[in-house]
Amino acid sequence: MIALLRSDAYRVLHSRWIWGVVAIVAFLLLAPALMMRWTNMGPIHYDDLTGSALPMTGVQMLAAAMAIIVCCDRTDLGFGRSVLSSLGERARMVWFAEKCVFSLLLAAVLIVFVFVVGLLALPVSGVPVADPEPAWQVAAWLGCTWLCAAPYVVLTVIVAHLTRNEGVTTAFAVIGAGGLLEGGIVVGIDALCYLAGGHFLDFSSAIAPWLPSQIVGIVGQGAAALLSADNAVRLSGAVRALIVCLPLTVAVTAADALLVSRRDVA
Amino acid sequence: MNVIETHGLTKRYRRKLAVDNLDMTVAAGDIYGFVGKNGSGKSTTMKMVCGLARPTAGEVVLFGDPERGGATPQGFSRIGALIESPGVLASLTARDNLVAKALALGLTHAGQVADDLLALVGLDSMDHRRVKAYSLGMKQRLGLALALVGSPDLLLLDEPFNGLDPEATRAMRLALMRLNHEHGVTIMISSHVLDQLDRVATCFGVIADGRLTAEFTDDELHERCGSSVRLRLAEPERGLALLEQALPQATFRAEPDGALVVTGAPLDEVSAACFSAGIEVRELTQQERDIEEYFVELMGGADGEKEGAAR
Repeated sequence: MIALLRSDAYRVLHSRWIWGVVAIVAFLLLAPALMMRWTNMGPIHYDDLTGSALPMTGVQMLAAAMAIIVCCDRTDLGFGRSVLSSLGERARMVWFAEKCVFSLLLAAVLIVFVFVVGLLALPVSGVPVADPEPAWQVAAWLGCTWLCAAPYVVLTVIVAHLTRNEGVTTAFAVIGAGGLLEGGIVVGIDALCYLAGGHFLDFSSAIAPWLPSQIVGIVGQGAAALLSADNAVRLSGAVRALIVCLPLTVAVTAADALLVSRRDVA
Repeated sequence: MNVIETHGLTKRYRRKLAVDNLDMTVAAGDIYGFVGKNGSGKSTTMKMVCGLARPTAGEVVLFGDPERGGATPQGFSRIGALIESPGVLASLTARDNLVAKALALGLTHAGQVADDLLALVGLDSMDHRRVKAYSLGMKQRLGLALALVGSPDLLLLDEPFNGLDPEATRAMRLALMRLNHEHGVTIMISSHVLDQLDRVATCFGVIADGRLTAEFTDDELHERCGSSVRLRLAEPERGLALLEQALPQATFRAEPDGALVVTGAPLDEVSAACFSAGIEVRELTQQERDIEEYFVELMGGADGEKEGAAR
C-alpha cells in the first residue's frame, strides 16, 4: 500500500494538472480578496472564521474531479494495467483499495490547502474576523468537510473502476457531488411511497437530515452550526457526518477492493 | 520447467467465445511466437496469463506453481506485460513513467532502475519531453521498458513491432534477444509481423478461433517451409520404401492428396533415385514454401475444419 501511495504521489506531483488546480484555487480565493481591498466593497467584518470567511462549498466536487484524473484509464493510457500485470492476486486488491485511499488523502490535502490559502486571503482582503472560533472547532470543521467529501470521492473512484469511462465518471461526479443524485433518489422513493398510498415527502423529510448533501450544507454554515445539536434529530451535523459518511466511505472502499478487483481489468 | 502451462483455458465474453479450451506450453528460456488473425484470441490469452482477465474455465499454471502463480513473497508477479497499449502516463516524461512504476513495485533506487531501463531500450534519460510528444515507436520502447521494471522472468508482449520503423524494429528485436540470451527472460510475443517473429522466436503457437491449431519449434518450421520436392508416384507405398533406402538423409511427408514431399534432397538427386530404383513418377516439382503462407494456412485451418465438420 505504501509503495503504491508513493508511486501515485510521485506521478501526481510530476503532472501538470495538479499545479493547474493549485493555481486556479489560489486565484479563486485571492482574487476576490484583492478586489475587496482595492474597491473597499467587502463586508465591515466577518462574524467568525469558518462561517463566511473560508469558501469551502464545492470542495467535494473538486475532490471528486481530482479522483477522476487519478483513476480514469483514459488519463493514464493503461498505466494502471501495466502496474496490475506486475502484481500478484492479493496485491491487486490492495491496488484498488489504494486508489480510494489515495483519492481521500488528495481530498484532505486539497481541503487543507484551500483553508490555508483562505486564511492568507483574510489579511489580503483587509476584512477583520470579529470572533474567531477556538482551534479545536476549526479542526473539527475541517475534519467534517473532509468526511462529507469522502463518500463522493470513493463513489467516483468505484464508478471509474466499474465503467472505465471518463465521461460517465465525470457525469456521476458532478451529479453525485452536487447532491442531485441523492435528491433524485429520495424524490423517486417519495413518489413510489405516494403511489403506494403513503404521503408525498414523508420519506424525504425523515431521511433529509442524514443525507451527505444536507450535512455539506451545514458545514457551509460554519463550525458553530456544525457542532450544534439544536435541530430536529437532536444530533449535531458532525455526529451525523460520522454516522453516515464514515461507514459509507469504508463500505465503498471495501467493495472496490473486494468485488471490483475480481472483475477483468482489461 | 514450463513457465506457462494452460489447461483447458476458456474465456467467454457474453455470446462470444474468445478462447476455447486452449492447452499451451511455454518452456523456460523460450521466445514463444504467438500467431493468429485479428480476433483469434491472442490478446485475451495473454491477458489471462498475466491475470488481467479471469478465465471462464480452465487454469493457467505459471512457473509450475498452481497455488501462488509464481508471485514473489512480497506479492509481486514475475511477469512483465505490454498488452494492447504501451501503458504510459502521457503527461509525464519517460523517466518519470519508469520511476512511478518502480515505486509502485516497491523498488529501491527507482531512479537508477529507470535510467538503466531507458538505456536498455535506447531512450534518452535526459529527454525532458512529455511522452505524449513521442512517436509510436518511442512509446512502444517505453512500454517495453515499463514491462521490464522489476526484472520479470516472463515477458508478455502483444504486437510489440506495431508502428515501428525498420531501425526501431531491429532495435526492439535485438533488445528482446539480449534479454533472452543474457538475462534468461522467457518471452511470449504475439505479432502479425511474421518475418520479425521468425527471426526472434524459438518456438511458435498458432491460434485460430480461440483454439491452438499448431505448436512447433523454429527448426520444425524451417523444415516444413524450406525448399522441397513434391512427387506423385504410380505406387506410392512401394516408391516411398525404395526412396527411403536410396535417400537416407532426406525426410518424407505424405500429403493428404496422396503426393509425397521430400525435404533434405535436391530435385536432381530425387529424380536420379527414382530412375535408378525403377519408380514410375507421374509428377515431380520443386517447391518453395513461404513461412507467411504456411502460417496463413495454419491460421485458416480451423475455419476449414469447422466448415468440414458442419458439412
